[in-house]
Amino acid sequence: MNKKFFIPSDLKRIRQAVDEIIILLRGLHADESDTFDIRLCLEEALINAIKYGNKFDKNLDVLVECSCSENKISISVQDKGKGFDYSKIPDPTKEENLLVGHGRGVFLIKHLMDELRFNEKGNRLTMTKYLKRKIFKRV
Amino acid sequence: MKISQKQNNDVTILDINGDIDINSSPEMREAFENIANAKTMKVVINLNEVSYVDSSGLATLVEMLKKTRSYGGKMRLASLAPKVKSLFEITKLEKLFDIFDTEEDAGVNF
Repeated sequence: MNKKFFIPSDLKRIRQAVDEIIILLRGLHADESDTFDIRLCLEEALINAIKYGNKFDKNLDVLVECSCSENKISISVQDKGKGFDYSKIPDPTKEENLLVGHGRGVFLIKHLMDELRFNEKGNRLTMTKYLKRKIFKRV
Repeated sequence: MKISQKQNNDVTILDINGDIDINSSPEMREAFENIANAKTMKVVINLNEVSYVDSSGLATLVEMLKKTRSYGGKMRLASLAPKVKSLFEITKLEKLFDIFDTEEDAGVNF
């Protein structure tokens, strides 16, 4: 199953976009813990795309592509920004960074998803999660 | 998000109800402003009715903790759902916050 859509660079549109995927997963009886992780990671990726990629320019869209099989889901989020070097994000778990108010979004994605990769330009991330409970089957 | 404030002796409890995300975090920050402005010394943030927190929510809680510490106050978190608690473990914020199983536990020996 594949899904592809665009959202404008407006933080208020994130919930609607995330709900499209979450409602789909719940309808397929995906595990609730997996659903939580996917919701959080998609939301974090969209916030970064809107905030740092498209710099809140509502004329610029963010592309969301989702592909789903019975045991895994892959989601790509692409903005129209100049790209970002994700390797340069400081580790938020280091003692000196614990009180810093930002920098946890990508870190959470890395931990909650099973795979995370970026394109060379750094304006598209693809994250994959292997599902605890197979979907497409009635429980 | 619904937020209510109550008092248990000298402990001020902020009950949060709903998701703490990028859209609702400012509301929680605003509700906390009154507590910080009054330099409230003992604050418990009760997350019993919170099933979802994103990185903006975590950042807002960190900000609230910093503010409380800045005037010598103490802030504790109570009743975290397992998935929410796991985010504090992953990000190591559990080292920064005093986290209690229940609101009652959080109010003792402040």
